[in-house]
Amino acid sequence: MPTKSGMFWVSWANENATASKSVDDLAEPFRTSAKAFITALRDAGARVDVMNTLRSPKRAYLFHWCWRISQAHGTAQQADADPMAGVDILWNHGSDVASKAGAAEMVAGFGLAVPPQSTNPPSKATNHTKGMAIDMTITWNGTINIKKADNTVVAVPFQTNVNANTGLHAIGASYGVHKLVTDAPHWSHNGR
Amino acid sequence: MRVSATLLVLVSGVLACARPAQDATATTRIGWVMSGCLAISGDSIADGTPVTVVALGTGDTATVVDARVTGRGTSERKCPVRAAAASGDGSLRFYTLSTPASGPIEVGIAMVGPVARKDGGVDVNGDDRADQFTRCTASEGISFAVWTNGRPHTGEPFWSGYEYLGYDVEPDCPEQ
Repeated sequence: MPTKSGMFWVSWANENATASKSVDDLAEPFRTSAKAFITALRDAGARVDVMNTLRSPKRAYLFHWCWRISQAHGTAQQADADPMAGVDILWNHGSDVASKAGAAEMVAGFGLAVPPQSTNPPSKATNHTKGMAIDMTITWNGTINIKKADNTVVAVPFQTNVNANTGLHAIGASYGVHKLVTDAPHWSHNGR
Repeated sequence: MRVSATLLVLVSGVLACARPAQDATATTRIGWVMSGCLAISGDSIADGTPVTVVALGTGDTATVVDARVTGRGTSERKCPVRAAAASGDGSLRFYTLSTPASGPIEVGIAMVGPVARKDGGVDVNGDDRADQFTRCTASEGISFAVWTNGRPHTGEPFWSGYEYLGYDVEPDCPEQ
C-alpha cells in the first residue's frame, strides 16, 4: 500500500535515504582514487573537508519529483509513472491541489531552493548517486608541494577560487579525480 | 530602472575549461544576494553601509536598487540558505539588507561602496560602459558573475560567486 507524498517521506528519507560524507561510501575505482588524492593533499599540509560523497538515488528521486510537482514543472501522474524501486510513494492525491500540497511539504522539509532563488529541479541521476563524485573544500596557506600519482612533486600556490587553480586540477587528474570548474567543491571520476 | 542582464536558460553541459583568477579587489566589494541576505568575502561591513544591488529576476532583465546593510546574517532564521554556502567557503560573511520600496531582494549581485551608473545600468570597473550581471544554475549551486567585456559567459568574468546548494540540480550554465 503506497504512502502519499508529504512529511512522512522527509522523515523516511532522512532515516533511509541519506547523503554520505564518508569517502568509504564511494564506488570503486573512484574510492581508491579519491583516497589517494586526499592523502597526497594532507601529506602536503592541506586541510581537506569532505562535504558530500554518495547521495542516495532514492533521495534524489524524492527531491526531483517533489520539486517538479510543487513548482508545476511536472504532474503527480508523471511522477507515479516513474516509480523508484524501494520508494512506495503515491504522488497523486486525487487532486492537483492536494498533490501539490503534499509535494510542497516535502520541498520545505528537505529545504530545497525554489524560484526565484533556484529555477531548476534537482537531478535524479548524477555522479553523486553513483558514488563517483566528491564535494570537498581544500585549503592551505601559501604554497605547498603536492605529490602526483607518478610520484613527481608539484609546488601549488593556494588560490581562493579553486575553480581557477589549474595546478591543483592537474594533480587531481593524475589520481583520476577530475575537477568540475562550475562548482567549487565538486570533483568526480570524469569531471562532470 | 532596467539594465541589460542575461539570465541564461540554455540547457547545456558544464564548463570544460578552467578559469583564471578573477579581479582580486572585486571579491571584497562584490557579493551575491539570496533571500535578502548578502554573502561577501572580506572585512566586516558596518550597519548602514549603502550597497547597490542588481536584482536578478527570472526573465532577461534586471533592476538596479539601492539598499543598506542592516546587520550580520548569522542565524538560520535571518539567512536561511547560508549554512550550505558557508560550508563551501569559510571566508564568506553574511549580512541582512534593508528592503527597498520595490520589495525584498530575492536574488541579485551587490556592490559595496560607490559604483557608477551608466546607461541605466552599473559600471563596475570604471570603463564608462554598463556591465552585465548573470546568474545560472551549475551542477550543485547557483553561479553569479559580473562581465565587463560586453560578452557574458565568454572569457573571464570580472567577478564570480557561487552558492552551494548541497544537492544536484539540473544545470543550465552554458559551456565556455
